Amino acid sequence: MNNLDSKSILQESIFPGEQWFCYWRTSRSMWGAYISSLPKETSLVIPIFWGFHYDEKKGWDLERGVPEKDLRSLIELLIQSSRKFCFLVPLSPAPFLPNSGVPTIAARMQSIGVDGLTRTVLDSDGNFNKVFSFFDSKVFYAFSEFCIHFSKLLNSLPTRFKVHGVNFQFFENDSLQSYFTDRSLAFNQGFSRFLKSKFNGTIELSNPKEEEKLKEQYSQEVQKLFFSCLKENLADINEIISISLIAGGPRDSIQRNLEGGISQNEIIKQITKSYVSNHWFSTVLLSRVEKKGVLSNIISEHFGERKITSIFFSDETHLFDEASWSELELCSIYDSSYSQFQDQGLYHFLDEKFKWCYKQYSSRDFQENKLLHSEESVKVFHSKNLSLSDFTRIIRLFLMGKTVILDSSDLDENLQKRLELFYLENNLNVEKINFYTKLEYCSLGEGKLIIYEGMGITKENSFHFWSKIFEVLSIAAISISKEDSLTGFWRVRKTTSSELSFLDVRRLNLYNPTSYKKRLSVTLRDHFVFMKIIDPAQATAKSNSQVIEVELLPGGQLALDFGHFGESV
Amino acid sequence: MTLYLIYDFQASYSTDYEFHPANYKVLYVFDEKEFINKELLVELAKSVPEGSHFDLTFNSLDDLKLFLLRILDELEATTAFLISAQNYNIGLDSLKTKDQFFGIFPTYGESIYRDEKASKKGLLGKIFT
Repeated sequence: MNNLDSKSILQESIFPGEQWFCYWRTSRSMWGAYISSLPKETSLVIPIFWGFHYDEKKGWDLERGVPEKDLRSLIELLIQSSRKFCFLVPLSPAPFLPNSGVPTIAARMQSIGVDGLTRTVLDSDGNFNKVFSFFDSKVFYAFSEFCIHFSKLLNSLPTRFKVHGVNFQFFENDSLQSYFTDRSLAFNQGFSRFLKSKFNGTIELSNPKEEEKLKEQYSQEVQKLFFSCLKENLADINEIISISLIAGGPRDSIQRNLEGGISQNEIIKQITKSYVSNHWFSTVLLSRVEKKGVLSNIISEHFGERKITSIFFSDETHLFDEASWSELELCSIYDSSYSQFQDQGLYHFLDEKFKWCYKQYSSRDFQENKLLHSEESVKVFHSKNLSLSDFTRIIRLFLMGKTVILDSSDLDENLQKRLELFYLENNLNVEKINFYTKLEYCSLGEGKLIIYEGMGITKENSFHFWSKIFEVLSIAAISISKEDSLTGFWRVRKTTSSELSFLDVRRLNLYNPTSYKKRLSVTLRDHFVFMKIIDPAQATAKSNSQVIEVELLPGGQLALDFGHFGESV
Repeated sequence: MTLYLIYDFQASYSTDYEFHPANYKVLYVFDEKEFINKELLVELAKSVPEGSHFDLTFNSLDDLKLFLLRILDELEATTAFLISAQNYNIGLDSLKTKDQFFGIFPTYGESIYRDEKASKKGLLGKIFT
């Protein structure tokens, strides 16, 4: 291996992706050089390896001891270079770090998954990192001491900057799980104490589902303790950010040991799942080889500075040019457990007709009043556990001219009465029909409200049901033929002076991460016109008046621009 | 080709309404190259009468071994390693790097061999499958 390769490998370990800067992987004397090697406008996201800052003999060292632990120096360097940055403090095990970030003195009990396997994660260097239980009291004590020292350091500095608490997650069987989740002895002992205090001594758990619910509740309470500890010391922190570590699950760790390794397709599938479910991700666990191919293009083109700013520096998103590309989101679904609308066939319908144009949010995102979703998207809600304040917010969205769909299956009786009162007070003309299920529709100005009973939707009728709903709402989208192994992203931008006949311009980026040639058809309907092909690489596109036939060789990619005109979204 | 099967033993429990016996749940099945297709595994699990085929859960260790032999037969492999979650965890504890991974199985697992002569898949067996 020559010097250039070694230098490049070192650079990649210090900047492992998504603008992370792993300060502990190089000497302090090199921090300046590495940071200034990046373009000036590139912001830095700096995970804190909090366990690294503890020495058994000398205690906590964040500034005056070992140079590589000197966070004060690092911060001063960043401020001097006018570099935008933020810190990530793990509130869960962080398995890209040795001991998953925990100081050696507290790394006693390994975390165990619900499948009974101890948590061990393969990192980018081919090392197995053990995940230690955060339910061991020693970990919490160490963490609380770290927070005190960290806040002391930050409070002594004249400049304020962002610090985020982070919950690290992984994909297993297509669903996200937190590394915080644990079934070790430490967890079980703590859970027993929790039960005793909650139920005043005696409880018999005979129902496994009930037991799981209580375990989940206990888990969340303990994680809140870590968050409260951080927040107590650093008052600016408002929320926990969840970050999915791509290829960080137990199955992935096995897969990456096998000859075939983990496919680009699987990696990209996890990234797009994170994207659709509005979670941020990190490729820090992936090796150089695993990151090659279209993956690096996807990340640089769709998850660059603008996206990173929206996640970590959300009060600065206005600094981006409004004429630049942003994510196209035609449908925003508030569905915490995913299954609520999955069973109603909504995701299947959206994957067929509005592929890559929707996002799923948790109910908590809505409760925290985050305007994460595109202003013009159709917003879909479920009434399960819907509170009065959330219900009021949903109605307010409708009054503000948004399109809202609400499944009223579990709507509380009081809220049902409020809804009826709302119709009367606003003199709304409510159309009531029976289309596979009870359906109510009303409009006010630009606002549209559809209320339906989800219980009437079955596997057989769901596709037709949703087709009609979206037809009534006149949601304009381009039809794409089914090809599950390709990846695409839709973006939208405002028109330029030469495009005034359009409402907006939409771009579809297509990527082929497989080892096979793939074909796809894009069918234009009313409201869209094909404009041009952008940057085809190992790909071709041929268009006739209504259909564009796309062919992508292995690793191929291209983008297609469309002008959107007409009255609707 | 060598197969590897990791399973978890789940103790029995009672709810208010029924008793759930102990069982052996298959967690992962793979060879050196890739995971074995789940649909194939579910199909092969049907050859073991007791247990839950879709969940790949078996009532006894003998049933689990029968299932593994069935897979060996189907894939025409001769050797497999069967390892419990507990022993796999012990193996993981000493694991440092990727190249040590497969060493866990002969050290902490149980080897299962398929008798090729006893295999039903002779020429006629293959024609009539």
